[in-house]
Amino acid sequence: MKLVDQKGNQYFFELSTEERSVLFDIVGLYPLSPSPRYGINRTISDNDGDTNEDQALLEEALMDYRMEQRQRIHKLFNQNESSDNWQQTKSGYRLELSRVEVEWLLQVLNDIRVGSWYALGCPEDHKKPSLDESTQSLLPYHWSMDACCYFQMVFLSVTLQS
Amino acid sequence: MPHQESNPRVLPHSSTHILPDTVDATKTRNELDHGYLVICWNDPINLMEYVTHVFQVLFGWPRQKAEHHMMQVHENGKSILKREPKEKAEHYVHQLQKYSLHATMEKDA
Repeated sequence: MKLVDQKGNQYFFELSTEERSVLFDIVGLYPLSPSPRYGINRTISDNDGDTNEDQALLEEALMDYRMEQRQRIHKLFNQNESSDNWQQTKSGYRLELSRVEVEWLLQVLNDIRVGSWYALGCPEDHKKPSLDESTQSLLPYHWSMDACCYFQMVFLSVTLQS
Repeated sequence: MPHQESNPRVLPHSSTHILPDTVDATKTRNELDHGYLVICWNDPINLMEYVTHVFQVLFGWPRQKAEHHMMQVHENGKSILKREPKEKAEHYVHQLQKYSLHATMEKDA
């Protein structure tokens, strides 16, 4: 995937058919974890009523937010519905995104990447997986981490340029 | 000279009595409340470029400042990003967590 054109706050990316397919598969994983992973306070205790209440509100807000994001993803990445953002070309696809949508996709991809990392047990080093039976079920998470990173770097380079 | 009337903190019939200091009390309360630290913690998963980008977007920081805090997170394990009243600190923690960064808030000692 690469940026091929920019008009104001609109960005035009070119993707191969395979890249588009991978992107669709990745965003389909969202949200990997429906609840927030971190507390609002690092030293939260059961006796701290205010903090617990704040924490509950934060979790609720984040869950609502993820559900909203899920709907947005469904709209932009639905194989069965035509989207104004996608256009088929001779070599693959052209994806048109606004600056806001780029920002939003960055968040989504990072969430999936972090969620995959959690699913793998938060390894300190993200190593290539071993291919034995016990780890086979984790392979999609290794794959999604790498794939998310690839697309994130493209989007980050775009935000850096502008 | 009606100096007493010109000073809202002084009772009109006595130069020795001072009204309850509501203005100062509010200020003091705000000052006390202005003591929550927004902290971003290191993790081995978020990309350095991404963390820098998030700091720029959320706080409106120039790239250099955002990179400085990102490097603090990376090298020292954490960076204090803001010192704010409770509600605003909660807002920032919420926003940072939306971006999947490990952020918390603590009352400033």
